[in-house]
Amino acid sequence: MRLLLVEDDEYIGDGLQAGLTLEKYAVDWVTNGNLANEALKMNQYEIIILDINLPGMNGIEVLKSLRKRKDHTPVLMLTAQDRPEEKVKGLDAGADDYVVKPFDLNEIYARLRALYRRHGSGSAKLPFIEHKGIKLEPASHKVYFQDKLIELPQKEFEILSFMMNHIGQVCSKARLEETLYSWNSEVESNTVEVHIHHLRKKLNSSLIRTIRGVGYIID
Amino acid sequence: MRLFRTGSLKKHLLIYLLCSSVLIWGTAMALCYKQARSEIYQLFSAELEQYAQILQVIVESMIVSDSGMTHWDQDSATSLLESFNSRHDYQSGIAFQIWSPKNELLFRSENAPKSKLSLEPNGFSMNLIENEAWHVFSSNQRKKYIIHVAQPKANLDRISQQISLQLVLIFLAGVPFLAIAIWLVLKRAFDPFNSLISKLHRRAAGNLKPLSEDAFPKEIKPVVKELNYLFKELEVAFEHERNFTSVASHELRTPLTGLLTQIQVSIKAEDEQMRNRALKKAHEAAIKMKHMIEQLLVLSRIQNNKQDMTTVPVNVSEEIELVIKDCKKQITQKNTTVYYNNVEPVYLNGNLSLVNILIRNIIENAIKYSANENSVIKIRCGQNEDGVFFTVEDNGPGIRKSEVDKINQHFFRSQKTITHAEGTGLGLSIVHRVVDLHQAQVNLKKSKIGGLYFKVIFPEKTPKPKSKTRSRSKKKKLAKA
Repeated sequence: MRLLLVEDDEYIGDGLQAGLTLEKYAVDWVTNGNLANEALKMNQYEIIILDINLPGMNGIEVLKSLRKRKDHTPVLMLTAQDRPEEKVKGLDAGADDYVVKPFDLNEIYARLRALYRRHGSGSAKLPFIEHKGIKLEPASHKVYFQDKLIELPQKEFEILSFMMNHIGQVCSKARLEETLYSWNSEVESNTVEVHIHHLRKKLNSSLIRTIRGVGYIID
Repeated sequence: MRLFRTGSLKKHLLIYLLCSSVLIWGTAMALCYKQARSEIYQLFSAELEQYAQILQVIVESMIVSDSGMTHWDQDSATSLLESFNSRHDYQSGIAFQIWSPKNELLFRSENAPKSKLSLEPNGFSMNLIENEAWHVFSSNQRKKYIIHVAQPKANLDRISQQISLQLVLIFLAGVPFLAIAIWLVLKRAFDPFNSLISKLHRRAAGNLKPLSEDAFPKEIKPVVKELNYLFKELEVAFEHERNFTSVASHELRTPLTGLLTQIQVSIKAEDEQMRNRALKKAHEAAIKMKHMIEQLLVLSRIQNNKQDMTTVPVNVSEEIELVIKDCKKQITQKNTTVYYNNVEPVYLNGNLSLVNILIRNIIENAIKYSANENSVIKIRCGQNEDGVFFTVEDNGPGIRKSEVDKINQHFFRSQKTITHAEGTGLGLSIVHRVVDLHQAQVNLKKSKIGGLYFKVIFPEKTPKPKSKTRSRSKKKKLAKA
């Protein structure tokens, strides 16, 4: 899952990037508001972690400009102030949730999962997604097919998770690639096709439909 | 009046007021008693005289109209006199004797002795007859019959004592009422104290609003005024404390978060390399935090120490050189080029350790925010008509006007307490405080070489010290203190 991390503090940014990578997120980390704004214009992210106090454009400005572009990507706001005004300002500017520093990495994980769950189009508001006999649990990274645990490598899980969150929508190959790779990782060609092929083999072969020239869809 | 210092003021006042009232009243009573006695004596004297005259008139007229003593029925007169048996408290027991020109006792009242009441034919006398003292008035107007009217002195004393006793009794009965009256008056007089006490008692610990002075009498107003002054001082101290706590907690939160995150990553890390990297970062974050705590301690030390700020002539150029020497590590790390026009020594009157802290913070900040490639900072100091100035410039990548404004705002907020502008760091708060303590001024703008131009002006013209070494030797003492 591709995530944009906007944090100017070297140690928090680095720690979050490492910690989120451990949780299999593809993390892009920027250290100022202007860079964050540019990155958000250029790329599509599943989720954004945004610090409020930033050099250049501050977090609130970045957030407002994001929402102005009708981009509804869930935003988890980081703040060093536990004053209510600060939180209200952030939430009113369009943040979906906030975490006050200092935080626990596990809390960040859980909040990200909850945010993603709320924003997914599938069986929203449940800690798992179930569709056509497939049950996917983001927290434990487990997939069941007809109540049987299916072992899926990370990238296959990511693709399935993304598509299950966008049931009935066509997901382009490029969009799926974006979820898999952050800026620093090398993208191998054909990988999306290969992962889809494996998913069809392991699960119901008719689950993922190819729409020629456009992408893939789970109906 | 040592007594008034401890114990109950009301009790003391009651005792003092009551004692002095009793004393004054008692003295007045004694004078009254003396006066009353003399008045009573005169009253009885007048009475005796009057009796004597009446008797004289009767006796003389009887004798003139009807020559001789034929009509004088001594027995019936005696029995008639006996029948007037009046019993009155103030009955003075008057006795009389009528003596003929031949020195015979013609008539006497029953209570009169048989021997002569007085040897004097006329006027007042005091005579002891048969062991009883008599107060006598004698009358012998026509040199014929001598009339003695007398009264026992004991009677006189008894009556005057009785009258005085009444006075004393009334007085004694009045004392408890007097005490009650004093007590009530005192209680009322102390009402404002009680009201002040109850107002203070009801007050919540955090409530430092001033009390209204109008509600108190003139005598208590100074106390209330002083209390209000104290409240105000406390409020300022609390405000400092609150600001400091808020600044401290906010400033420490960021490095603490970095530290915690890195430690959690090191716990969760799947390979050795990742773990080691996270631990190294955690260590760096901890060092950063340590530095920040040191800064906070400096800030807390200087935030409230206006009273014990000792000033000495400080050699600014020497301090700059010292700071540059101390910053060697940062300068080499960043490969910074430091330009410093080492001219003649420049002196200002200030607190040596604070001026050092100020210079250190500005220079460290400049190094930190200078460009990463070809880092340059320029330091100058000197003296002109405005006073002693100290400037630092860096070539940091294009500081925006809004950021200069933000730092400026931080300095031009009028409140004399530590202020905190988001993202400007503790260093600036410290610089701000030191600038305030020295009544110096700050001038900020965008530098020609790219970054921030930071100027501090100490307005005074300062005399040169007698010896050049004085400032440094003093610094060691201050640092220890």
